[in-house]
Amino acid sequence: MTAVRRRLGLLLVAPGTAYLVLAFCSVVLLLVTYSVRTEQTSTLFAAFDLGTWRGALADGYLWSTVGTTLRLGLLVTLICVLIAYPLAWCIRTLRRNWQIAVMLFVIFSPILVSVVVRSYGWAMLLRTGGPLGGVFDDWLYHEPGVVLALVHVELPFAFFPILAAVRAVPAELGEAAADLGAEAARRFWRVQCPLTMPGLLSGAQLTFTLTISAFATPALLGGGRVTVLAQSIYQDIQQLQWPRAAVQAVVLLVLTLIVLAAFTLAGRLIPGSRRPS
Amino acid sequence: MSRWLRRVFLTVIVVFILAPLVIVLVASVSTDEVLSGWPSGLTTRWLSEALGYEQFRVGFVYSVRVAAIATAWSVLLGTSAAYAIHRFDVPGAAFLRTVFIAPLSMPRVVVGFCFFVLYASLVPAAYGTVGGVAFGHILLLLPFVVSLVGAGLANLDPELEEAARDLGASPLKTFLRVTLPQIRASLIIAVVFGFLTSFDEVDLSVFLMPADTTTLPVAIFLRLQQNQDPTTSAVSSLMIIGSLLLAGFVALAGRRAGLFAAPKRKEERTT
Repeated sequence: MTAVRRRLGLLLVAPGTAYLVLAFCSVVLLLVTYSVRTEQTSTLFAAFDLGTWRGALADGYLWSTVGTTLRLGLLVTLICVLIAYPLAWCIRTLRRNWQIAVMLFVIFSPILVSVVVRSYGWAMLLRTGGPLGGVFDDWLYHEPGVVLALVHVELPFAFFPILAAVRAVPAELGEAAADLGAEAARRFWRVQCPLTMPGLLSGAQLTFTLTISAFATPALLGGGRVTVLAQSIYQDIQQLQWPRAAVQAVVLLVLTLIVLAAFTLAGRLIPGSRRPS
Repeated sequence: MSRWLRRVFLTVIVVFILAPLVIVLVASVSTDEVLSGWPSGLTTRWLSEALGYEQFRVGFVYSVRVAAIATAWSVLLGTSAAYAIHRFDVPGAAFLRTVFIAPLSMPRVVVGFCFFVLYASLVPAAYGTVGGVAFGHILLLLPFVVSLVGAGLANLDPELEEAARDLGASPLKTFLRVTLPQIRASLIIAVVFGFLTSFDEVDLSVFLMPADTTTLPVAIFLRLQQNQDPTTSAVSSLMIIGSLLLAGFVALAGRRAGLFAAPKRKEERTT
């Protein structure tokens, strides 16, 4: 019976796995092969050549794009966490169920709306003659505007993991600390805050990885003046510089993996914040 | 934090989150070409222009077809994989679970570029077709489906399925009659969330289609890069309203089906 069930299980899991192998592994392999083709080549079977890599790495343009991408990632993640963390605690203090439901729906609602539409909304708010055009002069088509719109796009991804962590802190812990004479600030920093660190880390991780790969928002709000890796890849494809696009895609992929590894490591190093697995 | 401060903070956040959506909605019915404050008059001109705009109409149909195919396949593949991982002793179940979630951390632009190269160099027939785009989208939706259905299965009592089998039900019958009705909430969420994700997707799709026949969000994106006018607001508004209606419908249907009953009970316990 168990042998039959095992075979049935394999049969069920096989199609999905086959798809992943085909779509996931093969395209990554293709990506790496492409990055070692001669520049200006758009065929798969061109000669092996590290020239594209050498050229890209020696070129200041790639590094400035990587710099912009990482800077935006750091800024947006920092701002998102700084908003999401107190927001989660605020929502925990709400007593009425309908208030909680409304807040959660409002915070979740942007996820249901296309990123293009949301970026367009910010472009309309910030443009000259728009409602915020006079207040935030020069934000549109410059980095501050891109940051603002990206914070809007990624906020839910920072918020929900943090909220889950904040909600999981038992109220009794705070009471116990209070009984032992700890005042509010001490209760927060010594008891409640450390317990929510895993949630904060996974929120930040998600925000960072999503931000460094964001495409539509920087393209629409940067106005060509703020170039991130994602845009640069797209532009290179349009100019038929496929191997160069592949090099940048590999760089973006490696950056993402480094970020994921760094956050996982940070999660292990912070005492008492080991994630439940 | 004092009550007062908290209230101000929450209000600021709500305004920040809703402002870009509200301005799109207002601009789509305002007579002003450039919106600077309260609209001076209302009109349906932009809406009818948007409905008549060929690329948006084509894009809508294209998006619906892509989303329907991608959702159907990812739910089919994802549900059977999640069921196998959770219920049958598949070797390496923990590893498989990680593998199915892994595409989530791939940057979408990279995925888009990879599929573009795949189609351009090996399967040129797939470039720009509904199937080709949907094939790429499955990679985005599969992690959602596997984790949502997996979570639904984890909450179930496996003994119910064992009982059905002991009573002589075949594995298929057990799944259809016992398991499926119990995980239907997770499935509904997976379907709607998957459909909306695929429908709204830009970062990956933009690589997979020529500029003249694209999905709706990509058509909007390409048009916005040229110029910004109220017609784009109008079609964006329709997308916002459509998404919210769909989500609201699911919330209502789910509530009637008792979808939110379990988590609510849990919340009451923790607070």
